[in-house]
Amino acid sequence: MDTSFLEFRGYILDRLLDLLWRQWSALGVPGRTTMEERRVVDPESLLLLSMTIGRYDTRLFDEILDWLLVNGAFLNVQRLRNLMKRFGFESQAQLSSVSELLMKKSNDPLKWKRLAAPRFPRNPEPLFFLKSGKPIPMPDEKAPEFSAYGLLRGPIKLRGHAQPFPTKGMPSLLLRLRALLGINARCELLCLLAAAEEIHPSDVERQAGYSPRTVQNTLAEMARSGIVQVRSGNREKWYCLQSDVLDHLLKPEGSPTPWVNWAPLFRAFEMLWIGVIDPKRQNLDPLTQASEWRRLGKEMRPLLAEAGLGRQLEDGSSFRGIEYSSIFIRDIKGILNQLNK
Amino acid sequence: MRPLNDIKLPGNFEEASHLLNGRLALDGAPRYNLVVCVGTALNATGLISRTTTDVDIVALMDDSEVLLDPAPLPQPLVDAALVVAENFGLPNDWLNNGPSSEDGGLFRLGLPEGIAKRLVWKTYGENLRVGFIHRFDQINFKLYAAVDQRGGYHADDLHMLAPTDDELLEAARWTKTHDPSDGFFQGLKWFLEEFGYGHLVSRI
Repeated sequence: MDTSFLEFRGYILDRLLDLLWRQWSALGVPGRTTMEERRVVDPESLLLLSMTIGRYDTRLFDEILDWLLVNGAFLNVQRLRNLMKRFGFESQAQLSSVSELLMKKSNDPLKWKRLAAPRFPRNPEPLFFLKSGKPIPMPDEKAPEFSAYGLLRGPIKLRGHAQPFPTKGMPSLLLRLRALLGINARCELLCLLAAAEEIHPSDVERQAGYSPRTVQNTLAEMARSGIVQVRSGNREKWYCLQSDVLDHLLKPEGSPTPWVNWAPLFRAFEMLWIGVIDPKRQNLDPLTQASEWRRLGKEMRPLLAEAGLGRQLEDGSSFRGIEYSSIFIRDIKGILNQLNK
Repeated sequence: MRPLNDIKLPGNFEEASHLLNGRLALDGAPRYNLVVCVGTALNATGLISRTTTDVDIVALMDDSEVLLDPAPLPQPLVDAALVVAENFGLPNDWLNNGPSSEDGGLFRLGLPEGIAKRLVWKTYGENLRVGFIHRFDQINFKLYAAVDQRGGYHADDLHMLAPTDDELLEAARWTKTHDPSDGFFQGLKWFLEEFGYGHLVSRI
């Protein structure tokens, strides 16, 4: 296999695992991280990507399970379903397996039952892989929660080291707001309002992971508090937060809340990873490889644009044939580096 | 005709055909054998060098060497060609069945006898072979087109192919099988006289 392709594939996995460890660590998962996360973490988007990428790091995967037992009550199952459906995340089987586990072990089995997809017959496959792509050897005994969805892994032995999410700091802001206000759209809306001077409901809908009706009704209700203010112009409404009132909570450092629209970005990364490990894409000749990067880039670009990074992946139409390979690799590395800074 | 190893499609088409093979393989498509004529084949076989904007498929061929109607082109081939077009900034119809696309096209009206045996093949990979038509078949097609269009660049191409009298007479007989009308016959005689082949008129 082409060493530059393998090197690129390895680079993507390492950077994505770095990003996931960094965000989970900021939410209370014990483990490795050399960089501090300073942005608000979106736990639903994080879980969705982790269910795909975590298959290449068994420790991370099981630490997440451990964390969910402690903090899962603050995850929004409806939002998880909304984001998975809207962006087409491909981790349904893993998520259903995790839901089966949480149905047994958490205090709120009904909540997780809503997330478990109906069991469907599929060819069994290993859950975990080495970074090389080879399956990790498995013991004879299998975890039934995962086998039920065609994913084979050994028995689950959680370490019980996960901590409640921190009560300070930006990464856990959304979870802290949920602890304060309940699991509802107000928490995402407050983060979004604090991240911009003012915001249009259509932007909120795009970024919050709720239906347009939920967003519009909730914003209208929040405006009744006087803390959320409305400006009307050209038959449109713009919403903002009254200054000072919630700044200590939402903008402790005085600057806008560091919110990133993680869901489309993470789906783009999931697409990238699934694209580079596709057996059909291994051992391609350079021309066909460039053509596949072009196709992948075309699929990823709208998602990156939604996350505000669309211009960082150049359009393939300006580059002929094989020329696009180096552009794609350069741009993807650039995006991954930027997010890991 | 050039030796096989020298055959190259003009401009982007050589790389485009390599990528077409790659795309077909990636899509799990069957192998296609394309029989290519007109400008691309003239260029590739070194008979005439001029700018071409597309690759004209006159027929397909199965693996037992039976010529097949190229209309419509198989969908996997069309899909793969569209991806190739995007990769090289080519027009979407860079690979087309123009010469044989309709009932009045070359394939359905009948290709010259023995065309399949005269093809020169180039393999682009497991999923794509391109067969270039022979100079003799080019003469047939060029004469037909030159009469049909009253000269034009087809007449120039025909001159450059420098057909012998026997080749031209054979081609004239074949063109008449395509269009047996008196109008075409009159056009054929007019073309031969106007373009320097008048001495053959009495023999067609």
